[in-house]
Amino acid sequence: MTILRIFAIALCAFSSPVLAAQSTDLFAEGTKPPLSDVVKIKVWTVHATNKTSGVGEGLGRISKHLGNLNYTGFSLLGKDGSPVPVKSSKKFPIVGEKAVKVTVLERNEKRARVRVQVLSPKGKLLDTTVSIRRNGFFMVAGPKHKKGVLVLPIFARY
Amino acid sequence: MPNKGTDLELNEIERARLRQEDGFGLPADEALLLDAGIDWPEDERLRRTVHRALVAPEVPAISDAVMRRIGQPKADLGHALSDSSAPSLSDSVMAAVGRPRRPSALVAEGLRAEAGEFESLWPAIAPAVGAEVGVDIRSALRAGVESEGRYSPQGWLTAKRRWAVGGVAVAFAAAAALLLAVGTDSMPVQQMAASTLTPILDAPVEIESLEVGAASLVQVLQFGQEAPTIIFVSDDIEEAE
Repeated sequence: MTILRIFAIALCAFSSPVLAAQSTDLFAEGTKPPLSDVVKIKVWTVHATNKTSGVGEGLGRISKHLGNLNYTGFSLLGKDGSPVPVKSSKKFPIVGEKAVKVTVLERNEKRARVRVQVLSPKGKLLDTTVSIRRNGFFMVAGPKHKKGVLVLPIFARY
Repeated sequence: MPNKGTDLELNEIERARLRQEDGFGLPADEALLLDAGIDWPEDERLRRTVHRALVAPEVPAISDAVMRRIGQPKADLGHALSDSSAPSLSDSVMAAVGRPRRPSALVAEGLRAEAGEFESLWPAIAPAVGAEVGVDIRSALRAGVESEGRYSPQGWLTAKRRWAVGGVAVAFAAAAALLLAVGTDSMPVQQMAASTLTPILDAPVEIESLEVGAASLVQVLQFGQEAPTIIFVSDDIEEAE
């Protein structure tokens, strides 16, 4: 019965942008400090591989989340970041001639809507629009790199 | 061996009194006691009196009364084994312990008689635990258990559930977007839908849209309510090319 309810809600949310927007507004309750005009975007570049083991320096904050991935070794290749005004974009080059392009679409007291594109010389690997919890982060993983993959934690602070 | 401090040393008159009481007295003992002015028959009567006082006249039949209490038929094993009628110990014991009122009740009565009736502490405790003095606690507990155990269909949209519902909604939206965006790829639709829908419940990140390159596969991973969402893009196909 619960599954049917969830299914019905999901269908409504998918078929009705209005309902989807209302669902998003559920997280906009409560009060927070004044909003900044820019969102500080940070992009880390982590190399995950099974050729090594352990979590490298500078990754302690996210080590427990990296441990969920099916790799034994994680090393930090680089950190990049920049304040990105709302409705603006910023391109962060990463290893392997790849790049992460982040566009801040909007932000409220709870969440920031950002568009993240992972670009490679051969084309676009990923193009997603996500709503990140304020001062939260998510990760894009998977692009191949030196017998492993790249993991790209993307932070949104404001 | 010399006597220790705890040993009792009897004199001749005392030994003669004991022998007379035990019935082993000699004429010399009787003469000695008479000379000493001791009425030894009186000693004998005193001994019998003390003996009667110390020894129960009959042994109470504990087993009988106990077996009656536990509802088992009497197993007269004692009579079967004994060829003489042993004194019934159980009767006298049970006469004491099997009285209508238990000894503990008598003790409680004695305490109450000594201390008087206790004043109920409940009126002082009830406000502290959020209860009302006049309310029947047992009824309140029964009502609480029934209330807690009753299915309440309106409770599923709590704050936590909203996360779940929102997550599932996003999952469906993401799945649909995936189907639209990469549905023409070689990845089986069922596999993609399963990898996308299953782990995204309670996702901290809402995915509004998700597109991958034509030569890529994607999985949305969620390892916990507070864990960050991981969008895993596999570019194996691209590498192979």
